[in-house]
Amino acid sequence: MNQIVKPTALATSALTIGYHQNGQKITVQKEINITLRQGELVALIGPNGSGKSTLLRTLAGFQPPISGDFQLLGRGVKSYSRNEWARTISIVLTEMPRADKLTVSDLVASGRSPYTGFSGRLSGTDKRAISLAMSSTGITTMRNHYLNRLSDGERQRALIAKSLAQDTPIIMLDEPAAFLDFPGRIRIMHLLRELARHQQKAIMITTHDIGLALQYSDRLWLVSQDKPLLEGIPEPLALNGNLQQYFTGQEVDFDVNSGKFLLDVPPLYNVSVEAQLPLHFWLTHALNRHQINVTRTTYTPYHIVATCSGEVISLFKEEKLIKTWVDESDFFEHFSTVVFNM
Amino acid sequence: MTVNQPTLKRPTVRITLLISGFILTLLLVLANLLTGSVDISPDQLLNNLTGFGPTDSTITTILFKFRLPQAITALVAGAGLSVAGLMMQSLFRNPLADPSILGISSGASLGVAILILSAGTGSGTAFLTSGILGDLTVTFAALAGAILVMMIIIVFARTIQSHSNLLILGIMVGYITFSAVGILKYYSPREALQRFVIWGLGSFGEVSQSRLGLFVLLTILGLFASILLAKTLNLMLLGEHYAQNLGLNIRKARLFIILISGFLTAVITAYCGPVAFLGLAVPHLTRNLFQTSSHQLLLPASALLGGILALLCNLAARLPVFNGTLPISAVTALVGAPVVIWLIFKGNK
Repeated sequence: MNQIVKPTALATSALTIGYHQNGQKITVQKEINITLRQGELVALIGPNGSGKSTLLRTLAGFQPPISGDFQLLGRGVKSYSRNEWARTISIVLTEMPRADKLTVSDLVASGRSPYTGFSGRLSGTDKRAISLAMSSTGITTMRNHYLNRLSDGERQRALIAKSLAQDTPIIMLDEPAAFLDFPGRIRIMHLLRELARHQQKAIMITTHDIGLALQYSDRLWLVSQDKPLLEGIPEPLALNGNLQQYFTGQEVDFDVNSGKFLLDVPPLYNVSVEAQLPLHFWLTHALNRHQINVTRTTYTPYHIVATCSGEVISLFKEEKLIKTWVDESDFFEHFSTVVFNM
Repeated sequence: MTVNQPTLKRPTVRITLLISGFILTLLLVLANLLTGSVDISPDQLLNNLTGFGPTDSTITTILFKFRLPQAITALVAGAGLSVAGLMMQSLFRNPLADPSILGISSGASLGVAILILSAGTGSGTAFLTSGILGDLTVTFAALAGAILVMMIIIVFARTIQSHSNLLILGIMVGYITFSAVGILKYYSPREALQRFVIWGLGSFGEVSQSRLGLFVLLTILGLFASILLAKTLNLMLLGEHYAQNLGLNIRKARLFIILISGFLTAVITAYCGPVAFLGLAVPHLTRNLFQTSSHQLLLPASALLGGILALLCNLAARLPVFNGTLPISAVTALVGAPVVIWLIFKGNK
């Protein structure tokens, strides 16, 4: 199979972003060189005040860069007209349109504005684009509902449908999962992945949720106040220690073995665990919560061994049996009282 | 199934509403012609209007010189104020916005106050309080004041990015003009003051037959211009960022909206005095009745509903029980406020 290079949707060259305050230029991030490719979902991650929103606003065209430039579809942004821009990048922001009596289909239809004439009259093509946008986001049945009456997740979908109707190669979403419940988050992220894969959209989201970003994005853009922007694919970033490095000094530590962020405190004990999956995973999970580190080596004073079916779980200290639990639930219920007296 | 119903029902409901609106307008115009201090029977009305059958010169005079101009003024002013209010509500995405929110009608008040109250101290009172010339100067003063404030707002609009800051500035300009009016009032003689207070209560009956043509022309010009902004207003409703991302030039759009809404407000306030409430309430009524946020429908429907409500208020103000004509601003709120209150309770259920 030939290697397919995904076409570049957006590329920055030495882009310095910031804002003006009292006539002074305040630089937030310097000399950013990043590329957003079609068919890719990129997550822009960083704490508040790290320049996440400034970068999004700059790339979406709401504010000019301090210096440097970026290209959309291989063309410098300065050559873009208002209308061309509207046909290239669409946005989904945390602020929701809350106008009275605004229906889902009104909102989605607004996505066609860059294509309709002065009167705003919809052509056949416009109407097809609108219904396609609603069906790919699963909101066709809600087309006549008022936006005010929808749940946060449904409203988020309606806004994404607006972006799809806008028919732009690039979609930028500011915290698309922030107000959603857990299943809602997963559904939205899944939808965005699908859009990237099947419609070749270049999608950039900002998020606080690093777990969600690691799980779903093709690429991460990490920003922080004192470090330059770090870009890469999640797994290599984790394996080569970049993620760990990036988050050190922020009181959390990235555990490369579990893909989790833990509070940066020394473990009380080290134990090794011998069990089958999924029990191994959940035993580790429970032990980690009690600040007990599970190591892969067996050179630890403590060993926990579970029988294959998980019926008997035993704790050994230097090969001496200390405690036996009769089954999983017995272990999970009572292990903490024992381990704290080890 | 309730989900899919509106697609079938809505267009027919809306057309029915529009048609009944037109019929109601016609009926209200006729009712306005029949009502007043002189009794006119439907027969007499028909004869004198069409010219067939026996006509009576007194009745013809009453009809064509007073009642018909007044009905047409009410219709046109109601339509214009409602559209101006709708535009302000959509621009600022604020249900409390109305045509006077940017201080434009306060500007008109200031213009009139300067004319009536400062003239009142000199010998000009007599010349002002009577005759067509007096009315014309009042209209001109109001228009000048309103346009002056509108220009100030437009200068602000060109430099200030944020809609809400512009709104606050507009309200502040309104307060400044208001207090200027207050100071003028404090130093003016009783008769002039009374005349100013009466102007301030608004009336659809001050536009004489000879001046009606220009008033109607200007207002209809403003109404047509507003229709051209339907797409712009739909985008504005989504918020500045979404509108900009959809290709709208926000500053230009805002300028046009203020210009047209302000023009309508200035003209109507100049001719009729400040008419409260219609511009605030009618857009709400229209949105609820037509169940839409689309300005392609809201603009003409607000104009229609505004005309109807103004005619209704004009009728109510001149009911024989009142022994004359009540001030129109008092009646508009009295008739309209309960409707809005009812709508809010209905919406909360």
